[in-house]
Amino acid sequence: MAFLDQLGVLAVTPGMVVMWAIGLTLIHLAIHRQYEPLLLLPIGFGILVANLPLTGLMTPGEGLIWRFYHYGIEWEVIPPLIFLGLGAHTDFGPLLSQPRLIFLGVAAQGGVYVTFFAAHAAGFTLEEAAAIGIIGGADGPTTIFLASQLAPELLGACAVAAYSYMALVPIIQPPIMRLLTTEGERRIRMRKARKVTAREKLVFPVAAAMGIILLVPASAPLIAMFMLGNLFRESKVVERLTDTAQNALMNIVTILLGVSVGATMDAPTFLRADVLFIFALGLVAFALGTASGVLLAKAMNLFTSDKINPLVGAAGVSAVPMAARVAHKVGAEADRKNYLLMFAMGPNLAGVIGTVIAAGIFLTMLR
Amino acid sequence: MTTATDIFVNGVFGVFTGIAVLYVLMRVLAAVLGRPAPESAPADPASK
Repeated sequence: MAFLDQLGVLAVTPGMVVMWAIGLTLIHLAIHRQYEPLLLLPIGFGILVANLPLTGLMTPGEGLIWRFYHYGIEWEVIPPLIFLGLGAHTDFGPLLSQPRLIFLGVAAQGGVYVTFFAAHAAGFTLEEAAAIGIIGGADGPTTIFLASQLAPELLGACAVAAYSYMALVPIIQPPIMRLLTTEGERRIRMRKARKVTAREKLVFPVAAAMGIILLVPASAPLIAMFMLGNLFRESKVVERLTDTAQNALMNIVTILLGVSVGATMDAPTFLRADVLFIFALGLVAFALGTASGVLLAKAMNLFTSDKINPLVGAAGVSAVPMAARVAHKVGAEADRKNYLLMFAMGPNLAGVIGTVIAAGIFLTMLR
Repeated sequence: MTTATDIFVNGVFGVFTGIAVLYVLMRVLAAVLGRPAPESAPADPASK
């Protein structure tokens, strides 16, 4: 009977069942643990439905989710739109008030490059190693943008690793921060930042977009959208566009992104030993990025009397604003009245920009 | 042929240069636009 031939239940494989468990675990973590729920919930569901047999959801040219993936991610549409929304949410004031903190965003990219080397030494191609290394930037859309261009077969693993570690920032970062700093350093109170004028905030996104894109043209899709979103916000004349970029558009593309990324994780692609290795390398990248930021802040303190609390260096990984909140929280454990959040937002934003530049350079050299 | 070392060297140099450009940009913006705009002079009281 044709009906029986098409019974999905008869085509289930053990690999699919394992993927269901992974998808359900992500859904559980999103709902009950609140781990990056906006992404892990649709990713988990995408994994689940993509691993149901005979659905054709990811059949090239036909499947519904394949279309989301093809036109949204392969065509480089969705990650830049996420950046538009991020830009519309971003206040560059904390960075503009303390420009020196931007260098902490460079340090955090140390983890990206060390892991890139490690992955390549472990046998991954240069393209794959770049996609794995960028996980250390802790920036989900940038990871997806780069992996989709250089190593599409690793997209699902890299994206889930990036978002998992972003969700685990409060668990992964504090031990590293405490290990590398003394109690006295964690108590450092930073000088009150100056007030940034509205004109600076208005000019910055235009000038920064031009400056970065002229240097690294391959970063244009992400940087241009990021700064456009910020210009919407700071211009204060397009409230409707700002609101759409921050909310409706961001929510729509987040749904499409999450489901598409999840659906790339079918059993034959995902259930391989090297995927576990990618998760391990991603963790190394993230930890090294955190450590590099803290150590650079300590090094900068050797040359200035205006001390930087080294904890804010850990916020140089991109996970915005989670990494800044963690820096503040660990600082508050040492000195309850030390308010580090706004200082940590500077390196945090610098980390976003630094990761995009790093991704742009990978693309320039490897595409 | 591109090697991992090429990518590392270019990457570190590129990221540092990009960030340094932004640092200079922010310093320039602070110097040029960082002071609040002067208040406009109060209008003369209207003549009666």
